[in-house]
Amino acid sequence: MSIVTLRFFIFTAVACAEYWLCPRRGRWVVLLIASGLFLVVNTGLHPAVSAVFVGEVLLTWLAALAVRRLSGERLRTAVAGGTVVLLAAVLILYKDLLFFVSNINLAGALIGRNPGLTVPQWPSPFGISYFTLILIGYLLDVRWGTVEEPERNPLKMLLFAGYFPQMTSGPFTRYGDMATALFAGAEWSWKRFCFGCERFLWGLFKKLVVADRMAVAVAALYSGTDYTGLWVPVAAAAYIGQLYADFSGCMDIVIGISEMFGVPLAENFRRPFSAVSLSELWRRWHITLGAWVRDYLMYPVLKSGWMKRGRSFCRKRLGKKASREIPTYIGMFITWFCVGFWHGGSWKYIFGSGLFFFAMIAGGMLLDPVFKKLIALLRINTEAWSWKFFRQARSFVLFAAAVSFDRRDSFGAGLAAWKSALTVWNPGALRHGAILQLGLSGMDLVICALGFGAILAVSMLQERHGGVRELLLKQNRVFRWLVYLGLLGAVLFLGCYGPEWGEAEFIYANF
Amino acid sequence: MSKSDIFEKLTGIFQDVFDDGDITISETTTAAEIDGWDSLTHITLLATVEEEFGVKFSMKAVQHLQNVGELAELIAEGLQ
Repeated sequence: MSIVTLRFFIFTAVACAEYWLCPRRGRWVVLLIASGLFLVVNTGLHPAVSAVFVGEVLLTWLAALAVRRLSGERLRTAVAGGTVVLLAAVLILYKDLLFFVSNINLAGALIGRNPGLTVPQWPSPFGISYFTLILIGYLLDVRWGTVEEPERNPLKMLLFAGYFPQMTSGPFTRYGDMATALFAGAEWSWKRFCFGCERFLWGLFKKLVVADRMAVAVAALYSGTDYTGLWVPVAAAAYIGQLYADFSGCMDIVIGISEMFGVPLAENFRRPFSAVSLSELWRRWHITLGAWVRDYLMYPVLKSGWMKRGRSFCRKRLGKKASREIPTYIGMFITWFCVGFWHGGSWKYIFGSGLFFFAMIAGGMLLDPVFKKLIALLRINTEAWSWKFFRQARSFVLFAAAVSFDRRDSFGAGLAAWKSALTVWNPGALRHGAILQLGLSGMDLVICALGFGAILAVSMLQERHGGVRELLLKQNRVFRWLVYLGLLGAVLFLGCYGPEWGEAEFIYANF
Repeated sequence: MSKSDIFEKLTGIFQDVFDDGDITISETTTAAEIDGWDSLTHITLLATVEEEFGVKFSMKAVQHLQNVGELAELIAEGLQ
């Protein structure tokens, strides 16, 4: 059940009504039942797949209690570490087995002995990429003492890991941030409920009016081999536009729904394209994934005993500076590899959402002294807005180019496309009217342009004033209702839904 | 080791890690005030502090440090 279907809206409305009618102490049970139903509906006729979720949650619940009660640091670490490895292994088994098998086959073929291994086709548990990382984070928080008292009630643990708004595309929530709001039941607030509805509507606008319309052009641009040369950067720009409207729209929908229940979810975006560097862009894009990877992967790796030994080895052989930098680069490499791998078991993701950024950020750090000298030599005014704009544009272009690999059929197809962008000169391809061959009418293009204009305007208002909903609340009632009805009208009359569009899926739901 | 000794040694580590001999720190100094103090340099800084002072920080402390004052307190606790 996609979260942009009438069925889901009715489901949410019923759950919301029951939630607020229920006595405060029992509200979490309403959320648990709703989350259970959502999971079962999305898992279809595969109860064994739902059992994977329940099994993982119960395993983590037990492991966390054991970690708190067992005596002896080694034993605690062994229980936590073993459970983390098991959770990660199940995720890889369901999502990435094909990657390993096809690479084994490829390696075999290179030496003339292709083992011809095949992968069994089984349905992947709904939301596994999200709930696995949430569970790992919880267990490590208990092990490290960030969560002082592990959850004693297994049903509450099921709700924490399977809370239905976060199951489609995140965000990655943390027990410490969620427990009180989820289990204690929030005070009713009309203002918060309305804010939730507004955010939900804004998300629908981004998804149904902009992202799904852009998806038509993106599908055309990435199909076959017709769109080469100058079409490749156009396709990259179109895809990043679609992806941003799709993913941030999804986040607006789920955060808005959660607000209706009085449960705040973590933000996943903070105006990413205002970033002046790739590392800053990643701190503003999919924020909860970045924070998860930083806290539960990069920090433990860089603080590990073997990294410490590596540091002292480097200090003795290569000096103080190298002893700091080399482990940092190793940690960055592991982190970015895993970020790419989380997006999917394929080299196109490992490169496009991972190692490309490692190369750019590590390269930037290594070449920083050269860049500084160049800036001084060319007498560039780094305080001028034009310099800031250049850095923003550079970050956007590099980000869009890298992420465009995710949309290609394979890493090789991505390389071939960008090779053609650099070698095929076809300015005639972008002649007037060519853009209308992508499946969108002139009116569709105008709607997309106005939609992106609205998204940009809201971003600028957020940058300048903070909360746009608070700002709107200060306006006159007539103006406010004009905005609300305008947004609702845009979703109803311009949204891409109905039989001819099919059920809308979210891009990040497939990761 | 007294608090001022800790701060003196910490200042040297900050200047070394951030490659800036002009850096000065106080109890209220935060990451936002030092150019280049991001999540990467944060962990490099803490690893260097651990080695130089001979202390060990917990992961909880690493994630939740708010300012240099808290870092100095952690060092003092570790040294005890």
